[in-house]
This record gives sequence, C-alpha cells and structure tokens, in this order.
Amino acid sequence: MQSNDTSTGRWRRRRTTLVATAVVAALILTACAGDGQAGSDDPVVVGQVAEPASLDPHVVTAVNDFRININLYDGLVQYAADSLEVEPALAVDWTISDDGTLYTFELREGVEFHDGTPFDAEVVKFNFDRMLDEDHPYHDTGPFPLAQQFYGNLAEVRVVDEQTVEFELSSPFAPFLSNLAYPTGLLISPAAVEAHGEDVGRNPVGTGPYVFSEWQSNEFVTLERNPDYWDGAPEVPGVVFRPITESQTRVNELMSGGADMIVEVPPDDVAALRDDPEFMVGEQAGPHVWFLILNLAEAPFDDVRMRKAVNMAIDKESIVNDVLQGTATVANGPIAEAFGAAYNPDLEPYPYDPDAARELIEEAGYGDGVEGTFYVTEGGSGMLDPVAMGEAMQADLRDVGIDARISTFEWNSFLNEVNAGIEGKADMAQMAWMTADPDTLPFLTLRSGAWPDEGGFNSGYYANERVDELLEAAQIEVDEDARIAMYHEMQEIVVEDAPWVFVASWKQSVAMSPRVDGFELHPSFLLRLHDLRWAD
Amino acid sequence: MSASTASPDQTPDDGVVVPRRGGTTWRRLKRNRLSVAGLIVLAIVVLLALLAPVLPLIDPAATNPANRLQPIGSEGHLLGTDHLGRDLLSRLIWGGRTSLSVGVFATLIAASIGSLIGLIAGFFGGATDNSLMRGIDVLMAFPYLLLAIALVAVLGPGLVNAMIAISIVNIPFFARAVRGTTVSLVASEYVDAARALAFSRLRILFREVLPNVMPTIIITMSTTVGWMITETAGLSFLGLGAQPPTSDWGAMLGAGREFITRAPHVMIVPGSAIFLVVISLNFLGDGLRDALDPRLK
Repeated sequence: MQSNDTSTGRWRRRRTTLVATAVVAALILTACAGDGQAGSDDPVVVGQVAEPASLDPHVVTAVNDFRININLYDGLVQYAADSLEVEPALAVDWTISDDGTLYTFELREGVEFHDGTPFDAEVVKFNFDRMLDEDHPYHDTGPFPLAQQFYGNLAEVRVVDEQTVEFELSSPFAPFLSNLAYPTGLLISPAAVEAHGEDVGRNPVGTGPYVFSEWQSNEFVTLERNPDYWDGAPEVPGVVFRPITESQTRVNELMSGGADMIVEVPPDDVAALRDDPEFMVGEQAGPHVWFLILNLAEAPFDDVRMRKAVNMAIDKESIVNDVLQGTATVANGPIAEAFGAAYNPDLEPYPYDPDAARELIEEAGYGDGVEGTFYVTEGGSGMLDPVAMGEAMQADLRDVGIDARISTFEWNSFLNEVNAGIEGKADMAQMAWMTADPDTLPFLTLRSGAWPDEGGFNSGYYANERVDELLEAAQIEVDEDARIAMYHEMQEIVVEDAPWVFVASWKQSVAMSPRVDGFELHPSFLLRLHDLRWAD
Repeated sequence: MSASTASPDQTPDDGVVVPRRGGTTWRRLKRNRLSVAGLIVLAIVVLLALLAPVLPLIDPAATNPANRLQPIGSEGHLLGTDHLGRDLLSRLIWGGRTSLSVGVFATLIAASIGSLIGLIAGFFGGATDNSLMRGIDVLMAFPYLLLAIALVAVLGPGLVNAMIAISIVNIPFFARAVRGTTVSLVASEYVDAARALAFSRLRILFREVLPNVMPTIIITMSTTVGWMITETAGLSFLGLGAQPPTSDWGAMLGAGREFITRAPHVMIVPGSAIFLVVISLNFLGDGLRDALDPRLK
C-alpha cells in the first residue's frame, strides 16, 4: 500500500507543481512587461485579442488580423475617416459605367512598396488575379476565403496604361466599391509574393504608413514608421501589437504600462475606465448585429406570433445597459445603425412587454408553457458576452412560460452546428455578424437562396419572396437612392416577420493611456494608427 | 486483521474483524483534530446542500441585471449578487448540491471500475495483469484534464458527461492502488488457506481479498473526492460542465473571473467553497489513512 500511495502522491504533486510554475512564470512576465515608462522615441504598444493567423491581406478573415494589415497596406480605396463611405487611397479617382459593370481607376503616382517595388496598374492586376484566377502562378499561395464572396463578379482586370486600370464585372454588383475598401482589398507587393510564396503572410510588404519589422510568435508583431508614406510619415517611430487573449489580462497590462492601448475592453472595465482620469476610453458603434436565429422550420417558431412574443419577452435594454454595461445599443432590425443611409431609422425595436408576449403565446396555443433548445456559444468573434446574455434571455423567457434549455458550445463547433442549419437540433441560436456593406448580412442570412443546403447562412430557414426580390435587386442596383429604398422596405418586412430576435449592436471600445494622442476609432472596427502621436 | 503484514494468529473471517476495526478506526480518527474539523465542515456543507429545497433561499436562477455585482452583505443578498444579479448565497448552496453530488458519484464510478480492474489484475496476475495494467498506463499517460476535455468533446458538454469523463480519467488511481494491495494479499496465508479449502476463485477474490482491500479503496476515495470536485469545477470553468442556469461552483468561478478586479467576491465566494471542501476532504483523508494503516496500530 505504501508504494502505491507514493506513486499516486507524486502524480498529484506534479499537478500542483505545474500550476505553481505557471503562476510564477506569469508573474515574472507581468513584471517584465510592467517596468519602464515609454518615451516619445518608443513605439506604441497595442494589446490585441489574439495572435494573427497571417499578415497576407488576401488570406486573413479576422478583424484581429485586419487591425494590423490596415497599417501595413493600402487598398485602391479606403473608408472615410468617420464613416463607411468610400474615399480615394491608392486610386486617386474612378469612374463607373452607367450599366455598373465597368470600373476605371486612375492610380496614384510615385508610390512605392516598402521593398522598393513601384506601385502601378500591373500590381493591381497581379493582386486580384492572384485571388481569383485559378491559373495564376501564385494562386496556390492562398487559400483566399473571402475573394469569391467579395470580388466573385470580377470578370477581368485590364491594365490600360501604367496609371490606369479597368475592372470589368460579369454583372452589376453594388457593394463592389465598398468591398474594395474592405481589408481583403489591400494590395501586397508582387515581388514579396514571388520571393516568399505562401510565407508572404509572415513577411508582409505593403505601401502603408508602417513597415513590417518583426514577428515573434505569441509575443509581438512590430512595425516601424514608413518615412516615405504618400500621405505623410507617421509621428511615432513604430507600433507593437501584442496578442493578449484574456480580456482581464489586457486591462491589467494597460494599467501596469505593458500596453499603451488595448482593444475590446470588457464591459465592466469600460464602465470603470470611463471614470478614471488615468485612462481614456474610446467607443464607437459598429456595423454589427447580434441576434438570435429562430428555427422557422419547426414548432413553436413556425408561428409568427411566437417569434414576436420572444422579441417582446426579452429585455434588450437591460441586456445592453446592465449585462453589457452600455457597450452596445439595442438593434431595431437586421441592418446596423452604423451603415448610415441603408439603416431604416423609422423602425422601432420590439418593446419589452412580457404581458403582450404572454398574450401572443396564449393565442398561438402555447399558454401551458413550451420547451425548446437554445444554442449558446462560450465566446467568439463579435459575440460579446454570450453566456451571460444567454442566461439573461433564458430567465426572461422563463417569465413568459418558455423553457429554453441552454446547450453551450466552443466557438468553432458552435459555428459548425449552427451554420449547417438548426432544424432538428435547436429552436434558437445566438449569432452575430460584423460586415462592411449593408448588403452582406441580409444577403447571406435572410434569402431563401441562402438556406444552409444552398451554402448560405440562413440557418433558421426564413423565406419571404419579397425579401428575396429586394435583396437580389439591391445587389445590382447602381442608383444609390433606389438601393437604399429597397433596404428600407426589406427591413420593414423582416422586422414584421421576425425570423430573428434582434438584440444589439456592439460599440467597439479601446482604452488608452492619456499619453497616446491622435487616435480615432472607426466604425469598421479597424484600427488605423497613421495619425498616432505621443502627447507632450 | 492486518491487510498486508503477516499476522498468522488472525482468522480470515472478516465478519468478526470489521466491526472491531470500525471501533478502533473511529477512536484513532477522533485523535486527529484536523480530521475532525474536516469532518465537521463537510457535515455542515452536506447538510446545507441537502436542505437547499427547504431553506428560505431566493430562486438561484432569478436574474435581476439592474442589481448586478452587489457586494457581500448587501441588503437581501448576504453574499452579494453575480453579473446577472442572481443571489450568490442561493447559487452557492444549490451549486454545492451539484458539485458535491457530481464529485461523489464520479468517485463511486471511478472507484468501482478502477477497483475491479485492480482486483482482477492483482489476483490473476500474468497476462491478465499485464494487459489490464498496460491499458491503465495508457490512460495515465494522458494529462488528466486534456483527456477529460477530449472525452467531453466526444460526449458533448453537460454535467453528466463531465462526470463520466472525470470518472474515466480517475480510474487509474484506483486500479493501481488496489492492484498493489491485492498482489501482496494474494501471497498471504489466509488466501492460501482459502485455496486449500477449495473455495472458488471468485469467492476468494470477493469474500477474502476485497474486504481487506477496502481500506485502500476508502483512503483513495477520500483523497479523490476533492480532486473530482476540483476537476468537475475545472470542466465547468471551461464551460464544458453544468449548463446554465444550473449553478455549480466551477461555473460560478468561471463566470466570476471577468470581474476579478471590479467585483472579486463573485469569484471568491465559490472559490472559497471549493477550497474549504477540498481541504476538509484532504484532512479527513489523511486522518482516515492514519486510522486505517495497520502499521500504526
């Protein structure tokens, strides 16, 4: 017995030792990061949410990676400083043919990539052919997951002369220009792709305000000032992006001086840091919608009265103000307010009215109570605080006699389950989208042609002929006013049909040391650091 | 009476031995103050958990987001409220029911299966022993939490599945400890005597060997329950255990970590409960080992 005891004992002890070692290591790391005040010759340290997957703009899909890329590269066009409107970047001007299929861009002169490659029309053609043309010699340096979705209509890119390039679309596609401003449209140096092949994602070369310097996995990515930037060299000598996954650790790093600026601040810390004179907090509502997908294929949510009832049973004000501490706003429909004109401001969010909800449930014949399965994720891109939000909703639904049984999933398995369609598995599922164009989300999630078996993301099987018509027409409508009118009508119908519970739009947040100046958040959730400087 | 050392004057008739040992064990346990303290704390915790339905507690799932993160001692909420405004005292007691029962059941499952494997391996020896124990070695070669997470990934998240996963990863502890004791018992005189009486092998295994292995099993159980509770809490902490709104100490701890600087009590309350129960179990386990160890008599 004695010998067995020690063997078990040793095993137990090893667990404790491991934990102790980890704690000590964490303390040492924090201590190192904490010492030393940054001076004006130091780079600005940004606490990011994760290690980037790659720095190849055509390959990456995560906002986390976009935040670095937007400082390394430029696209033909970019978002204006405070909106999702498109303005010139590497293209100084452009014309669109009347039928909406031919875009002609006049390129900026005298721009060079960080490796000295001159920027011209051939570069533009190389970039888009690389993504879209399967016969392109560097097409195998992908995959390029967003290329088809954003630029699939692009039939040909033609070099007219050194400073002029033409894009011919196979059919009109209204979101095309704003898709070019999306970070997938950033342009990379062809010489770098030729030199590094697939590894160009670790050796990025762009034309942007900062030049790539070093990437230590799980430690940092450093960028240095580009003294020759066409829009004026940045004032700070460089920027360091540190991946700090745990949100509370990010806050601690900011407080200890290990980071000068952090993104995606936890709601309670936003609330506390707002009042703290030692720090500055920036908040900006974004093109983000957080919603519950309802399963329209099966009872009880095949009945529109039940769908309206849940929309009224859930206290969205309390979720955004209390659970999320004011870091989100209540959504009124499928298009976020940040989209400006495309957003329909006349729509009122469903009010919180449990009595009306109970009446509707009674009418629908579920007055004796009803059960359902509710898919909740533990966390994920743009999901805010999904478990707490799910629990708050569960409690609200219980008040009106709906017993929502929560099943939680890790983010990637959650996506697998939900994107495949929730029929036969769940009645409600959480979801959130962040998009660059008002078209993307409804087109991919509300059309009957976007049911999961058709490869879309309409996981709750919503179908309305008029919505299909409007979405398809809006996508090829070149006249902006007509397009906006279509979106407004679509939103009215969708809100009336209530295929989702429309919950919230996220306000992104950064917290900074007051020594950092010249930074403005952008509705796109990107992090443009060009104008950054140290305050005196 | 003794388990492994030679005491030729003892009869193998455990029907007489067990009550006598029970008395001694209790006396010896009482002498260890820490063990008694552990026992008392455990008794209180178990009692509270059992009485949860009749205690005047607020509904543990009732949310009130406007009243969130109230500190300890606030009005109507003795231990404050969590991030959704739920009463922490109520969640702690109801959560204790979940955590304790999962810990105990997981231990019983692991103890039954593990002890059976250990008994068979130790008693029959040879190829049976080798194949069984190599299987156990394979199980033991995985980091325990990683294996538990993998099992939950296969079975799907949920309290029952978490309990099964925790049981499986703890089987090796019982199998190894029991096998070791069994091997030494098989060579003892009373087993030889039983063989000479032509008792069946099953009868020898379960009537003669098992009762004498019981102290080993009990000690391993008492030290393991605590680990089971922390491990289940670990899985719940990672979101793989109890599904909301069921409260469970691990899930409470996990939810509280986001508020550690702003409202540390949300984490401290369940954390202290786990600490208190696990340390009490360990004291009790230590006391039991001393009390049951024949060499100390």
